[in-house]
Amino acid sequence: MADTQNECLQPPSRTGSPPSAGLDEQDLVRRLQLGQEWACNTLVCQYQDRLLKIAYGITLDHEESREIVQDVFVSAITRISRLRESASLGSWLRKITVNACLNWKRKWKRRFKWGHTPLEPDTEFMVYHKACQGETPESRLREKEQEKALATAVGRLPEKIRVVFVLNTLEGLSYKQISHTLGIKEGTVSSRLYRARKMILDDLATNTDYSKGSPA
Amino acid sequence: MRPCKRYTQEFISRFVDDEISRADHEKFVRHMADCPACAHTAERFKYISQGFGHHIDDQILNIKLQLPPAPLKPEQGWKIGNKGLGLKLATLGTAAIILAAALVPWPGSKKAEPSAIVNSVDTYGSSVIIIDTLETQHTIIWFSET
Repeated sequence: MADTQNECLQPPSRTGSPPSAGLDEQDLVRRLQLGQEWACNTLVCQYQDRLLKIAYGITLDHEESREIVQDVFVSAITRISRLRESASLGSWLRKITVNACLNWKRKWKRRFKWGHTPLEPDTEFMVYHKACQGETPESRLREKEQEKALATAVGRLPEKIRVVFVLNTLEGLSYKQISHTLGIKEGTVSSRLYRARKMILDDLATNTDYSKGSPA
Repeated sequence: MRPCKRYTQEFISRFVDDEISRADHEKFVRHMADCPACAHTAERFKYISQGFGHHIDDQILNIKLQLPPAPLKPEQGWKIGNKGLGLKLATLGTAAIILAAALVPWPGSKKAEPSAIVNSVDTYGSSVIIIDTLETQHTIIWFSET
């Protein structure tokens, strides 16, 4: 289970039906409750990208999001018995991840005066990688710069607004689902999303030449 | 470009999220054909979501999880009626006493201040953490390869 990226262990044949892409969620939960190792691996394979997106969207930090998602999986597997039968595994994991992201920040703020400088990963490599897929390096680099400015603007949003924006943008949740996940009213979700978009556009107009160019 | 007075930006935000009625949706689509201001706002709102989504997709490619090598076992819930109930109650009682002692301020105690200042720098392959303790004025520099 140490190396989980893009690798799923197959179950031993004696354990019955193998997990597939369309593995029944209830079956997965039942096997997790039995402590089957390949069920743990299947859980990680199925949900790691989704949870990493949420965690990175909120923290905007590679190391923090990696540690948070690792903790979420460990916590979810060991506490799987607490998952109610009627609840969806995906929503449960999403809720744990959002809470873990918010608690992580609060914990460190309380204990330390915290300054963190995440350095960007190898952007040139990613530009080259995308260029190989048919885009010119120049247009891709320009696009990357715009996306980076966008992420910086998202990072400046107040935490409450950012969480709503991340759940809407990265998870594609409806206002009702977000209100259920965060325990707030749908009207609040609507106004926070509008404020997020307005603040991001204002930020881009102030700090970049975005307003002069076409957004598309 | 003159802003539109007919539709608010919050309405356009809801339109982008497909959170308005079908009738309102069709009405607004017809309106956008004659209102460049609303069309531009809707386009920019959509761009924000798409651009941020692409950025996150690129970023998470660089994150590799490292989970414990041993199989994780789900915890077994407590069952009332098992032997050792007295021990469990004693544990709960002790935890409650410790919690109460931690929450009640001691006479003459000062408000807690940060015990250290931590600065960290991450790269894809390594990270550096610098910890300055305020009271003893020590500096600890910690380098690790990830």
